[in-house]
Amino acid sequence: MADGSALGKVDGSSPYAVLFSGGKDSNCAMVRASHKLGYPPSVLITIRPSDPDDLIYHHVNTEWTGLQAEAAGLPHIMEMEPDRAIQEAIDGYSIRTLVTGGIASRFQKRKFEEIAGSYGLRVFSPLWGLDQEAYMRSLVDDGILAMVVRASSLGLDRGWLGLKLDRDNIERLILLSRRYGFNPSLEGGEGETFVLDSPLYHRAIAVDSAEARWFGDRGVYLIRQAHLTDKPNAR
Amino acid sequence: MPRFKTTGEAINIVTNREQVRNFGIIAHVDHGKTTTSDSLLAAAGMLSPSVAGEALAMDYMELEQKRQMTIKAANVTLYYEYEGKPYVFNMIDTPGHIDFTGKVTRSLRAIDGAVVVVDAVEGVMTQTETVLRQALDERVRPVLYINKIDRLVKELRLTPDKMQAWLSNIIAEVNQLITIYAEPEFRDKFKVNIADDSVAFGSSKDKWGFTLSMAKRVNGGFKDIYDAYTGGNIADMSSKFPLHEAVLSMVVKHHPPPHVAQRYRIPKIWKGDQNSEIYKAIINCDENGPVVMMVTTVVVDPQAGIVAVGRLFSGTIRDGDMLYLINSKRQERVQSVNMFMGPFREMVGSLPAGNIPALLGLEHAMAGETLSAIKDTYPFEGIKYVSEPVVTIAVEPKNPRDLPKLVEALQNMHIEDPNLVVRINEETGETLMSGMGVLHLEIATTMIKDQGLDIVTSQPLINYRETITGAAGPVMSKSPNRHNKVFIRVEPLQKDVVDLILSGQINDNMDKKQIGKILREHGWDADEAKSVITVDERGNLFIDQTKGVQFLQESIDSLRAGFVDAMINGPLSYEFVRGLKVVLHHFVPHEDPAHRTYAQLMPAARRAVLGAMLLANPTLLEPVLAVEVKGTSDIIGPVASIFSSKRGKLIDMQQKEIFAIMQGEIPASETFDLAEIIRGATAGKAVWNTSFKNWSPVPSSLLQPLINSIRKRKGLPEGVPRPEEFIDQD
Repeated sequence: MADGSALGKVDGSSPYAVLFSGGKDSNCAMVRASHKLGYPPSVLITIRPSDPDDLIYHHVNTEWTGLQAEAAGLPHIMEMEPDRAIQEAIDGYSIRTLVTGGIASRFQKRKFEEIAGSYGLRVFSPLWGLDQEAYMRSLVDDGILAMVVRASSLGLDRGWLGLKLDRDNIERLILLSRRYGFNPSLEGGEGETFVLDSPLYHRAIAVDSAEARWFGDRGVYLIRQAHLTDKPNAR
Repeated sequence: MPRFKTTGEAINIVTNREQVRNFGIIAHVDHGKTTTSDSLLAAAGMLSPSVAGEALAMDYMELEQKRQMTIKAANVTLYYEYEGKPYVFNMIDTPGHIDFTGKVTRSLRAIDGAVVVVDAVEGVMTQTETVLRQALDERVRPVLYINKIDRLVKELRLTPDKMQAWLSNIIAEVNQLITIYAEPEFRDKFKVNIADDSVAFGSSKDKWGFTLSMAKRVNGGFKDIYDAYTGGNIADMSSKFPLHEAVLSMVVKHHPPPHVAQRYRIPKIWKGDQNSEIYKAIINCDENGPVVMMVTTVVVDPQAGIVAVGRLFSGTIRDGDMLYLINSKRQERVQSVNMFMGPFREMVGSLPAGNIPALLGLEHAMAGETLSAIKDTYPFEGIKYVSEPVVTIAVEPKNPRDLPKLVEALQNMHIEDPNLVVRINEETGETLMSGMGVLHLEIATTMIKDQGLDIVTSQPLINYRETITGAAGPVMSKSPNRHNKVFIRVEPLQKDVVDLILSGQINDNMDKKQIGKILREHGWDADEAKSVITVDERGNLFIDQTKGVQFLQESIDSLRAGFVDAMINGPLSYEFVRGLKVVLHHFVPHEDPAHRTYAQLMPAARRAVLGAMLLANPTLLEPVLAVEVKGTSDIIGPVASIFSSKRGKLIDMQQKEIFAIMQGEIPASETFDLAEIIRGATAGKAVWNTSFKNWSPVPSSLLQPLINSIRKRKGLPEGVPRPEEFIDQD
């Protein structure tokens, strides 16, 4: 509820940024925040960590978040240093709130709150505390099409790399998460996704070529070539 | 015929425990255990009126055959009157073949005395020594029966004087073993000698035998033997010296009745608390105490279902009793208490301590189980006897419709012989049967066929073990999400501790303090001894040597699962791992539980163990069989060259007059065609047998091709993985 009250303080004209990794959670948070507030974010912030095993930020395919921002028609800040990125967003877009896609990781939430707090920003996490299985099932209803670009958990084999999360695959993922005991939303670093389409995108992303790499217990799906395309159901 | 008893009469005798003896026959293969037991059953088998009618009409053995019964009954009761007093004998089956060693030790626990049968020509052999040593370990009192005396006359042509000298040597040899293996306080008491009738001579085949008293009674002796086999009347011998009288009089005289035996045997064979009520009850064989029974054999009867046979150490067991199955942690009801009358079961309603009941209705009883009226009774045998089958074949019914029948037959065989392990290969759907040697599987295959099932079997496959010859680590592996680090080091586990695990003396169901105590007795320092996380039944230990690590307790099950998975699927070829001490050296978990789920920690621990193993000079162990070949001296040359052509070793050779006995070892993988080769090379004159001996490193020249072929058969990627594939850098 703390987040709900934070939202209450956001006035109708207060600009916000989305901490945007390009995955399903930040995209979904962006959709829900826009619905709730009635207007889109002012800017998307992507932190591109130098350490591929970074505990907080995604690494895989972050170079393609620019294409996603373009699809959404939004400005995009990409930095290695979180402080620099936030300062840029405050200076350039007068943001007052930072929206994140956190669901269950207290660790991530605390880290975001710490950094946002040091700039006087509020944090809004519209997905926080959701039932993970229900959340995963709602993705398709929300119009978010995500592709698995990193699999790193017992129970997820290389077959998941590049797989699109349609209803069937989401059910399969939920079953596996129960059997092997991982977070169905992949919140514990069990995997990463890359969003190809969202209600906030004006155009969809088409992947032309990609490379799957497997390291025995985990793997990544690296996009080599992608472009924007008209949405299949474009009016 | 006094041995026909009504059930009531039989119970009257067995409730007077002075008149009960529980004994077994132990012998080296071919020394005449079966002939001797058959002969005792035929002459002294206790019969109930229900079979008496039939039995009167024909020879007892014919009845056996007609009913298609084998004398492999778990227990056979014999009846014999000694000095005018009736006695009932439970003759409990003790398998002689070392391939089934687990069973031997278990049945020794149920008996108080053993008749050691030795071939007069061959004398004391390896299995005589092995089983006698085990018997003495359990404080089972031996008497000696020297069988096949006729061979001394017919084959060695010994005169009566020479015969006596020859036999004295055998007796001296047996007493020497008793001196070596018996505990000091039993050493002299347990020795055998002719003068006190604890030694008998005979020929089970010809159904005669005598002790000194019997010989004196008719003023006979070795001269009679010599005469009988040099043209005299052999049949006369069996009426003058009935074999059962020789053997059973030794048993009455020298084997203790159950209540006497339990007084000195219980402190040795039951490791529970000596101040407890249970201890008092079983050491006194108290029929008014709580029911405590050890199951030695389980038979699956087509009509009655599971029949659990064993020694009742205290209490009186009755129809309808609810008993705890200590090892399997269940409670079940005894439907019917039976006792044996000869080889047949008869319902008796109840039996007192000291006897050998056969219980119906205990669906989950396994051989080795302890039954008790008291819930947390300390078991007679650890949770499981760990069998390590070395050879596997696939079994398939010719008619696919017979598959359910086959599976049932196999399951029943496993219940009766836990060394025969049956499992379904989940990937191929094949039914796999594993055993202690090619011979063991051949016997099992024949038993299935005897049940009318038409089956096809595959070529045997050898089971290997993976182990390490050096130490390595600590190495670090991260979880798949890279948020957790597990540090592992490995070293070879000392052999005596591996043996403790494989014999079930330390196991995962034990209190960790108790495990620690045993490890300290084996030279471990106190800190390490108290840190066992888990005992892997394949012969490995997982030890915690972390210092003040956070979240360890809630993560330990996941880490343990990773360790166990690595022990099941070793890094070289996915074979079981054996003889490893795996140390959890350090652990850096993510602070948030969402990031350190089972799915993250299990693979991290597994990879760290595999990576460390690959750095510790891993190798494969192969099962090696002891091979014994017997025959006339002319087989020596051909057999010696068979040993060397089969990567084998000839270890010992004895020549006794014209006979040769060769002992050696051959890797199990080289024994598939041994039968044909020995037959061919010796013109069928050699008698031979094999038994599991040990696990031995595969010679380095064969290692790589072997690993490649196992990986290929299992569909694994070519080539052993590199350590770096499992180990991460900080």
